[in-house]
Amino acid sequence: MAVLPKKDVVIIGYGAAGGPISVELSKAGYSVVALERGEHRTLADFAPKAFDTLRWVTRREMVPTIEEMPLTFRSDLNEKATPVPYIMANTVGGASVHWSGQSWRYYEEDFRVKSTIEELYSSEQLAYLEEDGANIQDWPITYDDLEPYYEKTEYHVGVGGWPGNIQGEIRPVDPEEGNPFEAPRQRDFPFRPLRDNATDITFREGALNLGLNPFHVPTAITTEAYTNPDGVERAACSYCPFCTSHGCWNGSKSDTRVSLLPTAEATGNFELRSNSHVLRINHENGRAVSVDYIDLITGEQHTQPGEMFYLGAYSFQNVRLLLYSGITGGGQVGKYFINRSGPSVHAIFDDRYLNGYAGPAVQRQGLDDYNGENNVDEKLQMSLDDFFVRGAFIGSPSQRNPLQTYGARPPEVPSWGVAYKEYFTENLNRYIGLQLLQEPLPYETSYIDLDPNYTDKFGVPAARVQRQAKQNEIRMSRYIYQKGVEILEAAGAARVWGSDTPRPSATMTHDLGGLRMGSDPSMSATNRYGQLWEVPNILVGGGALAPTMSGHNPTETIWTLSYWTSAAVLEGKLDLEDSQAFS
Amino acid sequence: MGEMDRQRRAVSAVDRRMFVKVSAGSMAAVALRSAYTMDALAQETSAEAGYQFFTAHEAETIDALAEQIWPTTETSPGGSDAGVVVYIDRALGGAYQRYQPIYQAGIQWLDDATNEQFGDTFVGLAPEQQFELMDAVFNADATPAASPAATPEPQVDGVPVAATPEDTAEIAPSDGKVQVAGGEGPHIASLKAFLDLVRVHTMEGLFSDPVYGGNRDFAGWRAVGYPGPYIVYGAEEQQSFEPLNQPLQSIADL
Repeated sequence: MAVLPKKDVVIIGYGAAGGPISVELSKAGYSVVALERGEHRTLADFAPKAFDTLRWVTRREMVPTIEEMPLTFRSDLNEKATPVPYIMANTVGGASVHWSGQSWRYYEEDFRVKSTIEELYSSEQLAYLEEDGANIQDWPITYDDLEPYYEKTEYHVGVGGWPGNIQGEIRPVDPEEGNPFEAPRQRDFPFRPLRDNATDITFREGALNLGLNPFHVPTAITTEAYTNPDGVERAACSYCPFCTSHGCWNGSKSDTRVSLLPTAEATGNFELRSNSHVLRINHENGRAVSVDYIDLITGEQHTQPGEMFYLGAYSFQNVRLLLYSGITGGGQVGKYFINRSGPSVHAIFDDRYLNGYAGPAVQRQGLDDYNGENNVDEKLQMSLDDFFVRGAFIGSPSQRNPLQTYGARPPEVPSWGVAYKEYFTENLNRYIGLQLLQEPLPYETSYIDLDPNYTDKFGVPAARVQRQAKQNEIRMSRYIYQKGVEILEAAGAARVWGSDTPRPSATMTHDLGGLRMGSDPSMSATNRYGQLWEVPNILVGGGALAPTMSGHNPTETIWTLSYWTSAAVLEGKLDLEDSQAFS
Repeated sequence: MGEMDRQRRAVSAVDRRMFVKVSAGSMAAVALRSAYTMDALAQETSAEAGYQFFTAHEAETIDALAEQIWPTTETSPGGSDAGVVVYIDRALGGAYQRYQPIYQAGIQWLDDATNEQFGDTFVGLAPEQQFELMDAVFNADATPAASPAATPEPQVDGVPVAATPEDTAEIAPSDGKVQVAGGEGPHIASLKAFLDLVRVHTMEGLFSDPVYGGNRDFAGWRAVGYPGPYIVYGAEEQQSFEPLNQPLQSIADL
């Protein structure tokens, strides 16, 4: 085992989280190395010959196998967990390479959910949350803390949208477009989002018929030739439909690799090592000293010493690495895991074709009328048995080619035979399935630990996920299901169907918590900058930091938290010897 | 006892035998799934004639199942003419090597079921009898161990994506000692689970690019109105409420 020259900063996992900090610290003169388990794929790997749903969606070519990156799941804590497939990419740029590109700022109240619901609702209304073991905490930071870094993400990574709120002015650019509920931004987006397609126009009609406030979602896709403030040049999107689960063929879908890697590399202080699988963090006297990793090409094991370590892998893997390295945070590491489960709503139209195959998934109208506490007046009127807190974004995705869509059928249609064939041949291009992005809550019984029965092929225990849907998720699902049905019926759908029951699972691509930030070391894993309470020279990135989830996609916030932590390092706001000595 | 009840009992008796056979025998021999490589891709997309994995009888059986799952109708060809069996054969020789024992055992299991009920192998039956047996199996109550529905519909970024074979076949359970997750390969516990795996692979054979051996002459894509890969879409096409009528093309044409 070779001990390599020491670096100032060792980044473990080079996805969304690893991108900003690698740029900011290497620009400032730190020597930075990023160890990424996946391959270094370039645009040529996603060129037109790779316009192949079978490779990237069905067979998940970028996603590790169960033996390589095992995950096990159980809902019932008395049962044995079973291995389940992983669905997040291992590749340079991580899941930001195969994501959809739906890119949001969280709401102001998303950072203070506990305070918000206690202000709005009575203790009688909220009593069921305690029965279910919900453990909701405000973030130790506010929207205002992050606002400048959200802007930095939008301009550097590349996010387009219609502004819903600039410095308090609602829909200042287009009175028909933008999210009117969004938190105030200081500055407009650098460019506009993708256009509406036939599915979006149809969804929008339904929403407007109900008096709701639809808008085109903000998209991290360059819709025009764009040069970011560091001089990174990007091409315009061609509206190709090989988007979600694929890498982008011309680099117009924003990811850490196309948006940020060129800037880090240009500093001369940054080194990226792909195919590098980190096994453990070595620590002495309360400080991390090095990591051991395997070069997956040669099979050789190396030790990489460093001054500061940044956890940039996916939430499960960050937790697993710490636990396997013997860092438990007094029991806080792995706790309060949150991921989505919720209803589904589908429909077919008999008066029009929607041709949902003809565009990227994130071409999407949506609405936030039922998200967060935007529907507080309706909630205040609900019976105690129906009442719930938080809500969901509802949107209209595309990218509906046959290989991704063959499973979508109403319950009266069988899964095979003449009746199935006649249904699917008639309706593929008349079909829409909604995105219903529910905000679930953290619970005492939802957590990640090491599986006692299963390991990966290197002998490291699998990450075991415990997750349940409780009363809040079940009530919210019934409500959101009904809202989805109403929108599609108001849009003129001929047949609407779905499920109003949440089915919890290990991973739904929005898998947060496990290393939540907080003010109190006995109730959180890190301080407000993502610095581990237990080992002060380990900084945490990614969704694991989130105390609560939001009804929006998390990736823009993950990039933004990486800028936030980087700034704290550069401005001397944290002390690598003492996590409690921050300012 | 009604006809349907008898069929269900016959099916569940076979289910129990299959469970024993698969879990005790052939699964142990399955190698770890090799990473999906360009070699596998080249091998699966080769134009070589003949079957790479199936025996003649196995190929006939899968061809008949694919035709039942996606039958020939007045408007379009069925799974047989679409070359689904060629797709599945090449996949089993390539990216899906770990499913080889499941196919070998599953076809034997299917033949055991039809022999018990009709006195012949599956391919020896009239299409109506094939349908009758499959209908009984698909409609049989799943035992908890046999229910692929225990895995929620996979989603990426909130958007449903079709199941992979791993979502359909289960991962082999450990026998109580610590083991590599997935190391014993996939596992099916019922004839229904096997037929559901064949159904998923039939859909792949219909709707994947023709370079993989299925979707012959674009039979799958043409039937449902999908033109294959296009790189650029303009506003006019995207905002149309009529069929786009694009010429069909494959990645081989790009």
